[in-house]
Amino acid sequence: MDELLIGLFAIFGGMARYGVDQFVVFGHLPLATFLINLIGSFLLVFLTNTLAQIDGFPAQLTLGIGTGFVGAFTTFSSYILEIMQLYQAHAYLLATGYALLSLIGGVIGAYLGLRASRLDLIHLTKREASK
Amino acid sequence: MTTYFLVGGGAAVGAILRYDVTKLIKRYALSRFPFATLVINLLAALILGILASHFGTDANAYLLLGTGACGGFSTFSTMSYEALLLQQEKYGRLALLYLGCSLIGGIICVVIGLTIGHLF
Repeated sequence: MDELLIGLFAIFGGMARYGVDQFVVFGHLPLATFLINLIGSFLLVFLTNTLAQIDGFPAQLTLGIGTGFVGAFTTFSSYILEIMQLYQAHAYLLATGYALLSLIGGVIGAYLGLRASRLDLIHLTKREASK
Repeated sequence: MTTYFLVGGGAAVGAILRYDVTKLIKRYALSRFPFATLVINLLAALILGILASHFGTDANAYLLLGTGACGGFSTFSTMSYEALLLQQEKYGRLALLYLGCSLIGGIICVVIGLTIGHLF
């Protein structure tokens, strides 16, 4: 059952990644994958932490959204291949910059996701308390 | 439109494999180091390299198996999250080691993959 939901959500995650790949074109720069991985890192942490705190929200659905959709939306293999392609095109500085900025940006994205999920919870509990 | 279905179908298979392989490796994991995601990402980089040099990145086979399956199998977001968790648990050096192994290991794997793909 877990597998079925993950697979179903992953279809859309993969399609969304491919769609962004098609429409975000910026010369030969791998801007699409860069943005996808940064946004995805934020979303994974934000969504899994926020959804886990909502009473009655099915854990399987959280797994589908996090591991399935966001996991398939972001990609490590294309990121590495693009670094190699930049390197082969002798764009050494760009290859190094892309490699390091993605790693740093991903962790910052995840951190912001964690912070945002906590902000959101404070907001929710306040609203709950004022009812 | 067909291309979207190729990528989506591949991604579903890749993500399910990622989930099951992660569960399998975590059963035998002895440390807090996130070996499962590292192994998955390195394997995906190797296979993507083979596919890219064998089929070229515009082929339908590459969209299904590469962009779809390898893309869905590998994950960047979980890696970022795991690195953040290590850092938050005061294992900052382990987090750096994890990201370093992923990047350098990934590049080595994709180079091996690209070379293998040329041979066949």
